Amino acid sequence: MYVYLNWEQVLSPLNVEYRRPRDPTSKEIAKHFAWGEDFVQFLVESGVRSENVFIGKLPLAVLQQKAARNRDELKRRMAARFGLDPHVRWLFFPMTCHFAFFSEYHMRSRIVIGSDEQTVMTHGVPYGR
Amino acid sequence: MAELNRPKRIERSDNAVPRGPVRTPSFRPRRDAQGSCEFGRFQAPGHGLDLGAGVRRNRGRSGRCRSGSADARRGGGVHHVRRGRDACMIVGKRRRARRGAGLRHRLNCRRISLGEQAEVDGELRFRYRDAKHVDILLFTEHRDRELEVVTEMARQIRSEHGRKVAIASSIFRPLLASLLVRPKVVVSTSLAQGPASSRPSFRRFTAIARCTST
Repeated sequence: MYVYLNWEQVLSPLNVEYRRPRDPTSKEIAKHFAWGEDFVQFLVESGVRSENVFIGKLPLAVLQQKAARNRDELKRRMAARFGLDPHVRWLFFPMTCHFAFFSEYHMRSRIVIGSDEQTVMTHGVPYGR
Repeated sequence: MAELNRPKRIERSDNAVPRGPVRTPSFRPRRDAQGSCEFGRFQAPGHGLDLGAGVRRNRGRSGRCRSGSADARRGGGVHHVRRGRDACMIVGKRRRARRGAGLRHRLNCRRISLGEQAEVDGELRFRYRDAKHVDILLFTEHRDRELEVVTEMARQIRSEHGRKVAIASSIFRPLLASLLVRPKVVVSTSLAQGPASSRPSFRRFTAIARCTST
């Protein structure tokens, strides 16, 4: 049995065609996990059988919730691991700079797969230009 | 004399943490100056995956240990870890196969630790494969943001459900993983469609299952 956990379910105009399942294994045989109804709809629209799609939780979020029950212990471990001061307040900024470092090769590869050329060129500027 | 030269068989349960050096048979008997034959090579206990930068310590450009180093005294070999951006790999230490050996012999030279957490160089490392026949094989793609979560998932699958788990890279040597592990369930983290995806490995598993079932 083949299972796709689908860890990258945040779809954007740049990767929606790139993430779409195409091969018969993904569409008919494999089981898919989804975080919500949006991704279920995306998979079903792509040709995946609805009985093979299951709604679950993001494993990383589940593990984080377990770890966050004891915040002081978690903070102490993170401070020891990354060399931070545990006695100050931490502010976390998640940064997604993925598209900023796209090369023209990767952008062209997405266009070849089926993404709209104008959308790709609008969202991602080739790195180095 | 023949009795003395015969390698000792080490019985070890799956859950036992190996303690001390384990004597394993080598492939070619070595003779010392006195003419006695030594079949054994000492192997450090519990060769889990070494993901750190110190993987290639005491090793030359080829990856093999330098003569005279501590690893060479333990039996040498190559840590089967690729360097690179997303380097992660299933197996721990690959013992040296003789030159010209066939594929099967080379695969038999690979050993993976069986301890839950093996102590290597004073650190506790994770076990990346329980057995050849496992219940779940977890493919992972990115070392930096996926491997830690996958190892924690494997720990919980083992402890809470009592299943055997293996973790393999979907980028580096997935063919080798498909040959080494016979899983019941193959789990991929990504729906990627490129050559680095798990889709080629799915085909290999299907082909191997068809070949072995007949």
